[in-house]
Amino acid sequence: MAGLKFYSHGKLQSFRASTLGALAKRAFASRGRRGRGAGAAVAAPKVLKALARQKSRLASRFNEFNEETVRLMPTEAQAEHGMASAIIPTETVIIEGAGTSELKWLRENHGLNVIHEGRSGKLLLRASEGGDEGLKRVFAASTECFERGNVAAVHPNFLRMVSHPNPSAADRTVQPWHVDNDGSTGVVGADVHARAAWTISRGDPGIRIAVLDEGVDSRHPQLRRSVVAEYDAVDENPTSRPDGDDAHGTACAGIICSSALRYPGLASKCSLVGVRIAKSDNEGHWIFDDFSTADAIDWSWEEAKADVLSNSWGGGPAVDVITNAFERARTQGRDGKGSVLVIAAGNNQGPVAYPGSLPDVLTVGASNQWDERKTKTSDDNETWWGSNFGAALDLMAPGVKISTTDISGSSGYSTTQFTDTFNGTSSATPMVAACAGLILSVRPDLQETQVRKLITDTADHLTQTGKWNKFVGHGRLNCYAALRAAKQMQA
Amino acid sequence: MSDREGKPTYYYAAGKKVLLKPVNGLFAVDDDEIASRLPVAEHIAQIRKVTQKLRGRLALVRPADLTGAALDALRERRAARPVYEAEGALIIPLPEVRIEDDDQGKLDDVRSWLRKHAHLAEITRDAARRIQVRPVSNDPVDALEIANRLTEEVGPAMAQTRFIRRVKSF
Repeated sequence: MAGLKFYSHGKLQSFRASTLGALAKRAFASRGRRGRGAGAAVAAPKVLKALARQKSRLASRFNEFNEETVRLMPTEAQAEHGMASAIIPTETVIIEGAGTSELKWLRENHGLNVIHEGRSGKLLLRASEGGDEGLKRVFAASTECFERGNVAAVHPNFLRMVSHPNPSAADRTVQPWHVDNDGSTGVVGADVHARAAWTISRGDPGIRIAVLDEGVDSRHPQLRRSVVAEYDAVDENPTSRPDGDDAHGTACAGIICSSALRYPGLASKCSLVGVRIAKSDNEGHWIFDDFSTADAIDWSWEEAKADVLSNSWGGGPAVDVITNAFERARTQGRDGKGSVLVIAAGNNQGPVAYPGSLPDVLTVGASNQWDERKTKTSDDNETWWGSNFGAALDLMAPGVKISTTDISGSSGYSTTQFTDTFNGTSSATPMVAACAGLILSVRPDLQETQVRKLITDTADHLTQTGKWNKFVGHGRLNCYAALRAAKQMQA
Repeated sequence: MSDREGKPTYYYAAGKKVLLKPVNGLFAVDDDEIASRLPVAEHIAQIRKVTQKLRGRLALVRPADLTGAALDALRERRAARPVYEAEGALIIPLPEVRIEDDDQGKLDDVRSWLRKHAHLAEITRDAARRIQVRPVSNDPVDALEIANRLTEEVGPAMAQTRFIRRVKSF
C-alpha cells in the first residue's frame, strides 16, 4: 500500500506498508534465498503473535484487527545488532493542542472521533472506517490538519515493535516484569526502568541497605555475597536468618540484592544488612516487640551504618519508641546526612499503616503490570488485596507477582530458591530502597531529603494531571530517571 | 490502676493519648510466671496445652479454652495479663517503661520523680539519654500508669511502656 504521507518534524514523509498476511507469504516465497525480504527484519507471525498478546489493549486502535487488515512497515535499521523493528499504522490519530473547532472539522470532514484523552492536552481520535480505508483517512486527516496549522501537533498513531538488543549468552534470560515489562502481561514500560538505570549503576558495595523484616536467609546462594552485617532482635541469634517458613524478608532482600540473572536485584552491587525484627505466628500475623524493633532500627543506622532502611512491615498504633528511633536514623544516620527510610503503605486498601504514616519517610504503595494502583478490582485479578492510600503516600512501585529470592526448601513461597509470586507493598518497598541505594552509589554526598525528593520528583505520573494524589502519590518509581537526575544534580 | 478503676486505658504517642480497648476473650501469660505462681501442676499443664506462643515465654490464652479452676487460679495469682486492641493490632503491655530525652535536666526531673515514687517503680538501667524502669509490682498495667504519670507530671520527650504487638502480616 503506497501513497500514504504524513508530517514528521515539519517534513512530509512517505509511508509504505504491507498487510501481515502478504508479508508472511513473501517471507515464505523468499525462504532458501539469501535476500532482503521483509521477513529479515521482523517475521509476520512474530508480529501477529506479539499483537495478539496485547489485543485487549490495542483493540481500540483498530476497527478491525486481523492479519488481512493490519499493515506493517518493516525496517531493518540496526538489524545486525538485533534491533529489528517494525512500524504498524493504526486507525487512530494523535493530536495535541486542538480546539473544539478543529475537532469539529476533523469529525465533519474525516469522520474522526475522540476515543481517549491523554495527559497534557493530547487526544486520540479514531477513523470511522476500518482496514485500508481507515488508514487512508488517518493519513489524509493528519496531513490536512497539520497544513491548516491550528494545532500544536498531529500525526498518525503508530505502534512500534522494537526487539531488545541480542542478549549475551550469560544474559539469555527473561527479565521479571518489574525490571522490564515487555507487555506480555500488562503494559509495555510499566516497570521501574531498571535496565536503563543499570547503564548508570548497579550499586556500590560501600552503600548498605538494611532489610528490617522477619529475617533474611543470609546463606542463600544469591544473597550471601551481599550480606555485610546481621542482627536478630527476636531471638538474639548471631545471624538474621528466619525461623520455619518465614520467607518474607528473604523475598524483600532479593528484590534489592539478588545476584541471580533470572531474578536480578535492582541494586545487586550494594551491600545488604539483614535485620530480624518479627516472627510469624503461622496464622497470618507478625509478632513485634516495639522496644526490640526500636533497638534494631538504632542498630541499623548506628552500628551497621546502613544508608537505607527498607521496612516492609507495619500496622497497629503509633508508638514514640519506634518513631524516635526512625527519626534518629533520618537525622543522625550517614554521619548526619541521614539514612533514607522507606516504608510500606500496607495491603488492606485502607489508610496507610504506621510507621508508613510517619512524615519525612518514603511511603510506598503498590502498582500492577498495567501501571494501575493495585486495588481489589484492578486488572491483575488479585481480588484479595489492595494498596493502602492517604496523605502520607509518596509513590508506587510494582507489587504484583514479583520475582525474587525465596528461602530454601518447601516451606517458603515455592519449592525452589526463587519465587515469581511475591506480592504486596512489601515487594514495592525494597524497589524504592534499592533505587535510593543506587542514587547514593553515584551521589554519596546527598542528604536523605535530596534522595527522597529525587525519587518522588522523577516518578512516572499515574494521574491525568501529573500531580500527587492520595491514591498513587507522585506516581510509579522510575529508577533510571531518578539516577539520571541524581547524576545531573549540582553538588 | 486505670482500667481496674473503670477508666479508659491509654498511652501517649506524639503527645496524644492513644486508647487501648481491652480484649475480653484473650489474655497473655508468661510461662515463668505460671510455673512459679500456680501451685497446681495440672493447671499449669492445662494452660500450656492451649497457649498460642507470642514471643519468648509470652503466650496468648483464650479463657474459653480453660476449665474454671485453672482460670480462677490464673486470675487469683495475678498471672493473667491483659490484652488490648488498637488500630487492628493486639497490644500486650510488658512490665517495663523506657524514658528518653536529650535534655539531662529533664532526665534529672524524671529521676527525682522516680525517687519520690520508689514504691511504684525502680530504675533498671540509667544511661546518657535513656532511663529504663520496672514497676515494683511487675504488673504491666502499672507500667502503663507509670509511663502516663511521667508524661503528665514530668513531661520527658518519651515515656513509653514496652508493647508486644500482633499485626496482620503484609
